[in-house]
Amino acid sequence: MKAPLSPAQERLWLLQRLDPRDASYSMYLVRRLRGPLDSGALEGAFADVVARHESLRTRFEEEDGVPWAVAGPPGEAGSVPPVEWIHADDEEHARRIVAERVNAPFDLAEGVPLRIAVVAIGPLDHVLCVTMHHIIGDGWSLGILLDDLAECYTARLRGRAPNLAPLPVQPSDYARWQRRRAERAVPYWQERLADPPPPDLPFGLGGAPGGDGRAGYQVVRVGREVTDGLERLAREHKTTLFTVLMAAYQVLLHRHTGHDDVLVGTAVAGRDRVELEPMVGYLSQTVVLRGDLGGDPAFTELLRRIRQEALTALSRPSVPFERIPHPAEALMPTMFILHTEDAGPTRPFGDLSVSFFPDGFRQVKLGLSVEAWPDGGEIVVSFGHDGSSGSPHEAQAVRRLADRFLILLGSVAAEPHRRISELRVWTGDDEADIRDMAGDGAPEPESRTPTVPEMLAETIRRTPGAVAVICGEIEVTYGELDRRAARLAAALRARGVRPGDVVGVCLPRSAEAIVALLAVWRAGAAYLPFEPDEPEQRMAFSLADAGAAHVITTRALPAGLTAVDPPAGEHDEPGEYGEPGEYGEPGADAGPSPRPGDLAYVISTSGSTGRPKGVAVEHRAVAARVGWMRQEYGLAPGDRVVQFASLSFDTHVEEVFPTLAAGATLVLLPGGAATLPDLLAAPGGERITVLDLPTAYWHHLVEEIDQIAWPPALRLVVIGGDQASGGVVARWRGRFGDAVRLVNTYGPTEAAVIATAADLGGTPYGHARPPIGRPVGATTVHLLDPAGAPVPKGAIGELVIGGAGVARGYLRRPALTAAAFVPDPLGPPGARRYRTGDRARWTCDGELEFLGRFDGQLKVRGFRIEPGEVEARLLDHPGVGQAFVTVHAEELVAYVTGTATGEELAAHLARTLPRHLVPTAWVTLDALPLTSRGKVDRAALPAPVRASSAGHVPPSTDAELLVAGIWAELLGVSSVGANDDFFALGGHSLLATRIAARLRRAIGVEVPVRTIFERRTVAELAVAVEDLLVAELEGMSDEEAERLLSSAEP
Amino acid sequence: MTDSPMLVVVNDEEQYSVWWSDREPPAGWRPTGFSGTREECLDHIEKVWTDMRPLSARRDG
Repeated sequence: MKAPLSPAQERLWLLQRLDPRDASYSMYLVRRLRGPLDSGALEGAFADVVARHESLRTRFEEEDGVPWAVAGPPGEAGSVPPVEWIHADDEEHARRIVAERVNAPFDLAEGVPLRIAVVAIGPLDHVLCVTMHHIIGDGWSLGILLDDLAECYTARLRGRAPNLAPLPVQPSDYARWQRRRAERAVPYWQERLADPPPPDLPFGLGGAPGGDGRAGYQVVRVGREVTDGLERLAREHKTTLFTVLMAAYQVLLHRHTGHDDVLVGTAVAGRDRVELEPMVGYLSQTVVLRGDLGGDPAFTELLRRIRQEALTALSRPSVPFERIPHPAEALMPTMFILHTEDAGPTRPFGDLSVSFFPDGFRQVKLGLSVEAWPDGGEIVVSFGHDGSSGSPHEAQAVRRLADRFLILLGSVAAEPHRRISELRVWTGDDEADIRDMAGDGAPEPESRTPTVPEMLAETIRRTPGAVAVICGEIEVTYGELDRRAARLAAALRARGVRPGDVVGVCLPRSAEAIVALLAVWRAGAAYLPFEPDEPEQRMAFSLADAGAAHVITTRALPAGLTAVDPPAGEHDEPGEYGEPGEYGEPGADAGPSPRPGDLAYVISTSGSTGRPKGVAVEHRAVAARVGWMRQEYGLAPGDRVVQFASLSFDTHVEEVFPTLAAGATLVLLPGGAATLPDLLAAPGGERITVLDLPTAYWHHLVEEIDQIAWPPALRLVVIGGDQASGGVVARWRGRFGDAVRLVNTYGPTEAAVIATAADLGGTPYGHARPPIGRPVGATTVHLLDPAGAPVPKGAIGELVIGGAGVARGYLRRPALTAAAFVPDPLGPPGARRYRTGDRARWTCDGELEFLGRFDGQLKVRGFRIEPGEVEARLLDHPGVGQAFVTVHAEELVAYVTGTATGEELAAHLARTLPRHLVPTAWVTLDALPLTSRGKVDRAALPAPVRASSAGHVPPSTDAELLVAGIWAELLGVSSVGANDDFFALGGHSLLATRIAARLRRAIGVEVPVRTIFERRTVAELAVAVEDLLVAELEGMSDEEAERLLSSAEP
Repeated sequence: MTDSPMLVVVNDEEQYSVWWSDREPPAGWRPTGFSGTREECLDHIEKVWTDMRPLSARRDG
């Protein structure tokens, strides 16, 4: 008998086709049977049960890409799978035998997906192990199977007929009925699950492909007292324990991700009619509850909301995942299921006593899947995880998560009227972690921490003859640097610069520019650096904003500003700034050294409003950073450090001052930053020891790794400014091994250059992002939840920086400053900390992972998109050097460098990303345009131009004609072009199976369904088909090939 | 965080910021007496914080 599948069965059938090795949809019944076992009666009982339940005789046949359920007649010879009788050496051996069987996948094409084994541990000690694919039976079915088996076994032993009422309904009837019901539910789910939130899970679970052997379960128990409290809460609010636990689980997720919109799947038995109760079959339904946790409600209020949601959602048939244009992982990133208490068989099993036996099941369907069941007045909660966080410590992380859930449940039971932000979640270990990971914000006592000018004075005194700066052919010693800075400082004072003033510096890359920075400090002022070609209007605005009247420059300035010429060199005519000897010898008239609280520099940054804002940084902040860098980077005389960053960018601080404070040599790039490869290749380049590069630029260099004359002396590369790519790090390590240290840094200008750093060592990052590390010296980092409380490992929060590096604020922007620089309750009295607006998470290892901006999310045609995710996947492709993803005219656009074509990359992304994250417009560039700060220059990106091939190109080759013909028929489209996209034409996963079937029928070649998802255009799929044909032909005799080719005529 | 009532607070360096009105300000910070929405507090700070130098820098400078 042939019958259609229920929609839920169709989905499982398709999932199994997509991944035939997946055993996560196996259902199993494992019981220990102690006592005398009559093998004949047991085999007979199985035959009875199989004859009774149509499901247990059902195999799945595919016709024209459509699956059909085919049930053999009851009692047919060979319809019962053979019972496998196995002898185990001992209990441990029996466990292994059972685990092998429950973890083995089913091939749905092979026959009835049912396996029966009996493992003998001793003559009176057996383990029954029945395994079936979920497509023929759900959890409820296992209970029926055990009961019916017990009754049939007992009946056979006693020589009577089994006492079982006839079944009113069979699965084939149910499937037809369910198909009609499910169709009516589609609009509900399409509306309810529209625009799902990003599928964030704690600890980055679900972030990478799972199932690499790190899957497992973490099991905890809710004690009796808390269980009683939760049940009481349910009663008081006229709801169920399930609703209370579901609400708590949504709070757990919310507290880890900050999302107010939370999607959690669950399973319902789907046996709400009495005639469905005694049937073995797949009746359970997968539904999704969408929790609204907005507005920080009290838990009791949330309970009311979830109860309402549950009333609506739980009565529906399964979510039709294939009919909603979002990937299933977005619609249901996680599940929570409450099972009923397992009381064992309700009927006697002959003279056998029945108990549980460990099943050893290791398969997990989702990144995180939680099941709970009452057990003797307590609740057992099992957190299943599939290895998809990419962390080797995933099991520990999930264990911690389970512990947090216990704390949360205790808090819910004790204080259900609290707001969800106030419920306790974090463990004592979490609190300790937060303190340990935060870093030490206490600077060295200021009396012992010299300011940078004091550090420089010390170097000058110690090694006046050493070379401080190299600029092309010019070498400037420390002594000369000092004398020139003194003269320029004197000139500044002569022009009216006073301590506390701000002085502009607008000079080309030159020794004069370095002299100018030192001279401004020497005059007791702070410098405000500009690009040499800074637009005049912008420069004027920033100077006025800073109240600066003087600029050290050779440029002409607008009225009202005083230009101060830099001294060109030691051999200039004396008297340029007045009479010879007026300013005396170096240091003779130097003003008092700057105090820690004085302003050191102002960096102009672009504001979201479009108006630049000046970040004012004090000497104490610069001193803390420079001291840390000098020590951490191990700088010493003999080091040669390239000055790559533009002075207008605060990264210059990291290059210039630690180098000079250490008595090392700063090597300038007078031809501009882009000439770095030339500098490295020129004589002297081989002596460079340290490079400090914007991450985006470093990616660019590593793309050409074999074309760059990497200096043999190179020992340290510092990167920062963008998310580092794991793939590029791997390539770097492949070339340099451990010979060159690679430090990834992170930090906003508002926290003085950098706030965190990570050594990117030999650990391969795979799908995980290289971390941004831990707080640097005299710095604290906390990740804050929306209520302003710090979060521990695995949770996402806003990165907030405290300690010595915190800037004074934004010049003349009181409200902006007050909003971004906020009281630091964890610092010394009166301290402030800076809110970055960056999302981050502590990894299991206590390192920070940067997750983008709170406001960086893109939206295309209603889909929420994190561009960083798409970029990371693009960078995984060997043919991609750099990648940048943005939105243009309602279209997701990818800008890439490298050899890969857009078509190849779309196919590549389709392997790891949901459809809506695959860009639809592709622009290949020679290099990504970078701003002067080494970030991608969005404004300079060309608008995507539709290639002419996007128009209708008629299919031309035989294979294209064949593919286009099949598509046209199955998609109901009149004319299909060679470049048309399967999904753009309205294709979906079930149709893909049918296409594979048609192709197989037409040409006798097996085209994997996966290929149809990956090769989305007619032309791509046609090439794949041709390749498969060729491969097939190579293994054939000429005659066979002739026959095949003649049959391939479309 | 944005809709809860906030206070304008100030530290010993006369630097201004905002804090939740239902929480005790951290050590070293005191309320100025102004409260309102976050936006109202920031607008108020924009008016009253006229010299943004820390008090110690003003005294010594």
